[in-house]
This record gives sequence, C-alpha cells and structure tokens, in this order.
Amino acid sequence: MDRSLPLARLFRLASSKAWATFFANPLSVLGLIIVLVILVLSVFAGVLTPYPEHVGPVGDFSAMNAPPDGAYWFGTDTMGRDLLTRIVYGYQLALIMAAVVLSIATPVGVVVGLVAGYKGGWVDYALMRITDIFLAVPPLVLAMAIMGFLQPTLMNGMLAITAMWWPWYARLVYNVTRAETQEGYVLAAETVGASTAHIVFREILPNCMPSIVTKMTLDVGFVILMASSLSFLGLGVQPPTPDLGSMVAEGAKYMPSSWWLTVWPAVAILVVVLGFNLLGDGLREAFEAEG
Amino acid sequence: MTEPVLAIRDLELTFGRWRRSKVLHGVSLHVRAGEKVALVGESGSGKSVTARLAMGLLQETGNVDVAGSIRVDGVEAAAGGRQIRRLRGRRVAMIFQDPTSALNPAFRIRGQFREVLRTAEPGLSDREADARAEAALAEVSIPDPARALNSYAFQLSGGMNQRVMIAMALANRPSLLIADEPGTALDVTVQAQTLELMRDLAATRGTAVLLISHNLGVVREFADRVYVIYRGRIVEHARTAQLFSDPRHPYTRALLAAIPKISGGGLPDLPERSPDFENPRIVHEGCAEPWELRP
Amino acid sequence: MSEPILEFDNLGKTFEADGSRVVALDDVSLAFERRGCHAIVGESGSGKTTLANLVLGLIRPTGGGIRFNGVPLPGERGIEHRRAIQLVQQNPLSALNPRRSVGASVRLPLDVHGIGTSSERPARVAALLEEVGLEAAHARRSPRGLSGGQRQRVAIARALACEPELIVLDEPTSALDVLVQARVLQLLEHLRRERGLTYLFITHDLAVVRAVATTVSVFQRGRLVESGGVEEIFAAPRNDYTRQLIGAVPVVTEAEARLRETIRAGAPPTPGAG
Repeated sequence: MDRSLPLARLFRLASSKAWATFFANPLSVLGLIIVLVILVLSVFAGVLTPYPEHVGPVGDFSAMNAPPDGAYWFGTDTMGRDLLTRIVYGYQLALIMAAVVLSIATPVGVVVGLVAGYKGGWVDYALMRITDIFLAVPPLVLAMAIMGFLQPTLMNGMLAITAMWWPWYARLVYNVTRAETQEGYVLAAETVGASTAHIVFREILPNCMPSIVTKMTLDVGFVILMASSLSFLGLGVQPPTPDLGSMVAEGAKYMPSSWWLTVWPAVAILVVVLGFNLLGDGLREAFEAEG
Repeated sequence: MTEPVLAIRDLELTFGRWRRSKVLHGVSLHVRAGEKVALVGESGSGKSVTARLAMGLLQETGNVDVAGSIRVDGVEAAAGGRQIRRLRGRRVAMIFQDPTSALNPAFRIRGQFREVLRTAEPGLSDREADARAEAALAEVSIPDPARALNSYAFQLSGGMNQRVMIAMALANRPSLLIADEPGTALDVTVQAQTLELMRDLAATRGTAVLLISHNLGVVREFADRVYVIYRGRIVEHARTAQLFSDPRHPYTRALLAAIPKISGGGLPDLPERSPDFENPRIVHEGCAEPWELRP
Repeated sequence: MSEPILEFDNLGKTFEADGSRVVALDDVSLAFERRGCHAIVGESGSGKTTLANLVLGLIRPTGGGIRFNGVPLPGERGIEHRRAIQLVQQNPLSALNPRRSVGASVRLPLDVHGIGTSSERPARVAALLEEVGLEAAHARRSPRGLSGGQRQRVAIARALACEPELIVLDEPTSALDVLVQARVLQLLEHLRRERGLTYLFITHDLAVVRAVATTVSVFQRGRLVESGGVEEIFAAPRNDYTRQLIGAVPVVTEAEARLRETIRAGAPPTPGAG
C-alpha cells in the first residue's frame, strides 16, 4: 500500500487546493505551457524542425547568413544553417544537460542534507562544513577552474556544473529536515522503533519534496543559463554541436547587421529560463497554499 | 441607559472569494462599561473571529465579507477603516493567548512600551513615557518596574510577560478590553492571576471586558454574563449564575456535562455533534439585547 | 499484589550545558501497578516531560534507574521495550505525517515489528481503526482531512498496533474541544479495560485526572511531592502544593466549588461534599 515513489505519493496527497491555486494564477499556467512546448519540441526535434540535417557542420551554402524569411523563419547562420532548427536542438541539448546535472546533484545534496539534518552532532558538523566550503566558492569561478584543467567537452561541462550545484540542495534539505525533525511524527516513528533509513527516506523526505521539486524546476532554467554562460566564454560545448550560449557568442561578432544570429538564441534562452521560473514560482505558491 | 461600549448586531462573516464559507450567521452581543462578559465556544465556533472583527483586524486582511453592525465606543467598525484603527491601542485593547509571542523579542520592553503610549499621545517625551510605563507596570503588581522595562521578553517568565502585556493593553486607559483566551498557553496558577487582574480593572476603572474562552470553568469564575456560541450562532445568553444553575440549550448542557469534575463522577456518553445543538437561541430572563427591548 | 509494571528507583536527570546545571528530576522512587491509569501531574518545569522521555528511552537517566516488568531499562531487549512502551502525543496534527496516509501511519509498527504477514496487515490496520471508533475507509485518507479528535484516534490506533503493555499519554486531550475530549477519554478508558493496558497519563488538568486516573503523583520542580490513590488525594491532599493545584482548577458546579473551598482551607472535606 505504500510502495510507490515519493514523487507519485506527493502528487496523490497534494490537495486539490494546491492545484486550484496553481491554475488560478495565469503566470503559472503560462510557465507550464512554455515548458511543455519546449519539452515537446526537444523530444520530437527530428520531426518538428524544418532542416534536421543542419545540426551538423554543413548547411545550405546557397543561403548563407540569410535574414528571416518564408523558407528560414529565423534566418540562417554564416554556414547557411537554419537558425530555428539549431535553436530547437539547442533546447534539446540544454534540457539533457539540465536533466543530467540535476539528476546527479539533487540526490547527492538531498542525502547529505537529510543525514546531516536528522543525525545532528558531529555528522551534521562534518557534512555541513564540507557543503559550506563548496558554497563559499563563486559557482562560475569553480566551473571555470574545473574546465580550465579539463578538456572543454560536454561531459566535463556537466561535471563542472554538477560539482557546484549539489551543495545548494544539501543546504535546502538540511534546513527543512532540521525543522521536520522537531515534528511529532518523527518522534512517533522513533518510539515505534522505525529504522533511521525509514525515518529519513519515508517520513522526512516526502515532506522535503515540495521544496525540492520547486527548486529543481527553478534550477532547470538556471543550469541552462550557467551552461550557456560557460559556452559563451568558450568553455562549454564545442562546435558544431548546436548550443544556445555558443550561438549567442558566435552571432555577437556579426552585430548589428546580422542581428538574428544573436537575438533569436538569446530570446530562446530568455524564454526557457522564464518558463521554468514561472512554473517553479507557481509550484511554490501552490505548495504553500496547501500548508 | 447609556449605549454599550461594544454592541454587535446581526453580525455575519463570510470568508473566501471563490469557495465561500460562512462562519458567522448573525451574532449579536453587547458589553457595557464595567461589565465582564464572556463569549464561550469550541474551536471553530467563530468566537475568535468575532473578537478580531471588533478590533477591526480581520477587515484589513481583505478576502472577508462582513454584514451587520459592530459599534465600538460609538464608532461603526464592521467595515473596518481608519476610524476603528485610530481607536485600537487607545480606546480598544486586546490581550492574547501567548504573551511571549505577542511581544517583540528583538526589543527591550521599554521601547515597545513607549511606542504603545505614543499611539495615544504622539509627542510624549521619553522621560514622561517611562514614568507612565513604570506606573502601569506597578499597577499590575510587577515588583521592580524599572528592571522589567530594561528586559527583553524572553528574560521574563510567562506570568511576568502576561502582566507586561496587560499593562501595555491598559496603559492608554481603554474603554474596552478584549481578552482572547488569556494565559491558556501558561500554567493554571498564572491564568488565575491574569483573571484576577482583569477583574480588578473592570471594577476600579469601569473598563468593559469581553473574555473569549473555551473554558466554562474560567467563564464561571470571571464573567457577569455569558454568551454561548456554536458554529457561528449564539445559542444561549444568560447571567453567569443563571447559566450554570439552569443551562437550557442542549449544547450548553452537553458542554457542562462533558467537563470532567474534580468532585468525581465518570464521563457521560455524549455525542461530539448533534442536530439539537443547532436549536434556536435561548435568552434568559433580563438578558435581551438593548435594541430588542424597544418596539 | 502482583509485580509492578514500572518502577523508578531513585531516578534522577540533570541536564548540563555550557557549565550550567538544571536538575530536571531529583531522586524519584515510585512503582506503578499493572492495568492502572497513573497520572503524573505538575506545571511546566515540574519534570513531568523529562519523566516521559526517560520512560520512552529517548534520554538516559543521570541517577538511579527504571525497571519495566522487573528488567532494567534500557536493556538488551531494546527493540522489545520499544514495542511494549508506546506514546500518544499532545498535538495530533504534528504527530501524524501529513504526507503519509492514515493507513501508512498505522501500518508502520506492524512492518517494523513484523506483526502478522504482509498480506494480513491491511486487514489489521482496518481492525485497529475500527477499534478506535473510525472506519476502515479512513486508512486511505490524509490526516489533513481529519478533525482533531479523529487524528488523535489515529495516533491511538498506531500506538495499539505495537500491542503495547504501557502507553505514555502526554496531555492527549489538552488540544481537543471539551466534547471531543470526553469521547477520547472514554475510548482510552475502554481500551485500558479491554486490552489490560497500563497508562502513564501526563497532564496538568486535575479534573481530567479525577475523571480517569487510578493513582496520581504530583511533581513540583523535579521533585515528587505527593503520590497516592486518586480518591484519597482528592478527598484529603496532604501537601500544600497539591492543595494549591486543586484549588486553582476552574470548576463548573456547586459541588465542585464546595469541595474546592474545603481543600483550599486545608481541612478534610465533610462526607458527601463530592
């Protein structure tokens, strides 16, 4: 009766009041729509984009650096590649990166936060001081340092971002856990004789899920932004892979005459970050209404 | 007869914009100067929201729909607004369940007391304010007022904080004091002291006191008159002696029977809810609302 | 007389932090009969919560010891004690995990202690809920949707799931309305008789003590000041502090008011005053 995943249970037990609050806010719904559209575009990029072959190094040499028109809605780049196609594939890559980073950073941070928050004492002290060390280094500097002595590949980019992302989850979950540990249901589980693993993962963790889900949603946008910043600095994904940050950096050389080269990828970053932020804020509001 | 200090007439309250829930269905009550009146009911009965409406606090949150009339010291307060806000802290004061959380832990009592006194008299000098604060604290039997003024709330005991709260509430000589479950967060002995203090003030200064409580025992010892409220409706209104010697409403009877007695006897078999509890209001002899007396 | 279920031998607990010492419990010796409802009474700072935590094994004594069924606590039979001594807390909202169903909360002790087979457990959960006056269908509900009284019933069902011998009741009805309190107290009384349970009833409400307890022990600042049968103590309290506590109880009937006056006066009450 209680074997489902915490996330599934979260949605089952989230009251209808929470969902009513979410859908009552037009901005939250807009965020949800943006995110869904980007997800669908990324998943079915091969079918939905007009020129999937333009993902590689070669484009349409007869239409190089063409402004937006009927054939190329967003124009083409200096290699004659369709910008719209490359932006959609840029989304696909950005989402994969965000998914990989968060699916590593979140569990690590969550476990550290849960254990430190529930156990207290020297475990708390040791784990949270390590976390603080990571938090004290500016994220971009840490990522640049890592990228500086590693090869600037996609894998290393994700590694660098992951290394600077988990401490935020540790901190967040630690604070929630500290508060939840004072609740009577934790004492009840202890007096019943439940194991530490049960108390931490089955009693406390479900109560951290609203905070974690909200932060993850907001973070998809921020991870994309961070990845784009690294690419913009030339430390991220290398050509010819379509990457939103590199596209902005590359296009900036041709401003203002070939404005579309920079503006569309920049707008694309803006839209995805905005979408995930609106969705995250909407979720936070909904969870708070639930009380 | 003069107008009551607090007169609430046919008060209705509805919460929410989309999912509306009505919590008060026409509550009427009044308190005269020098009178100690209790509004007694269980959680969710609407007793605390009635107090908050009378203070004009609930109207400020928005999201509420108020009908009927609340006259506080001659001012219409049902709609809230600036007039009732100006009365608050001066002519009308409130004391709460937990005094420690009602005082700001970051400031000394002295500063908070000055602020309270200045809501009534904005130009009051520090020295004059402190002198009045010390006098007010001495009046509630705080042994060393100067030291209490220099303390933070967390440095004082629960009983001391309760006294400080009462001294603040009464510093501007309000004509109406609303006490919402005063001291229930504290020990029985402190609670008894609080009631003793409020009783004195009603007697010596003619302050009208409205006590909000769930505890019929406290009500019996404190109040002159009692209103029993159940799910947003007044179900019985009587003088205290009448109510306890001759409870007539099924709900009041159930409440009195359900309270454990120090004289012993087991617990009766009573329902938590019953349609009888929603029977019409019973008003004892001589307890009609003032406006009901006139044709 | 049978062997006491619970005994305190010169039990003491001193908390030390940053050089300051607080004596929470000082040299307490008591024995509790099986199947009784034993009230522990005192105001805040009396040490009654420390006592509960010691019995539950959440903290260790700094002096003396506790014996449960004659065996020192906490013993080698740690997990067995954990099962046999259960707790019902004051705040039923906090005591139930808001993100787990009622059924999951009641089932937890069955899983932890391997009570029944996995396939039998849903039926056991249903039976427990019915025993405390709820319905089997409540198992699928979230505690959010329940009233205070219903939540406290769930907490009682969870304690019963352990098949305990002793339940520590920590102000179990002080957060409830009067009519709900009466029903919950009746339920506790019924369960004690049916299941042969022993209660350690921690409370500040002396009227509740009079209604349900068999013995009462009064604590003041960590010391036991008076202990005995409820009838005797309410008829003639010997200690001044006990008299003061009973004298401060707000009462609702004439009979109570008369009894209280005689107790305040310190003279034995006239027969029939109760």
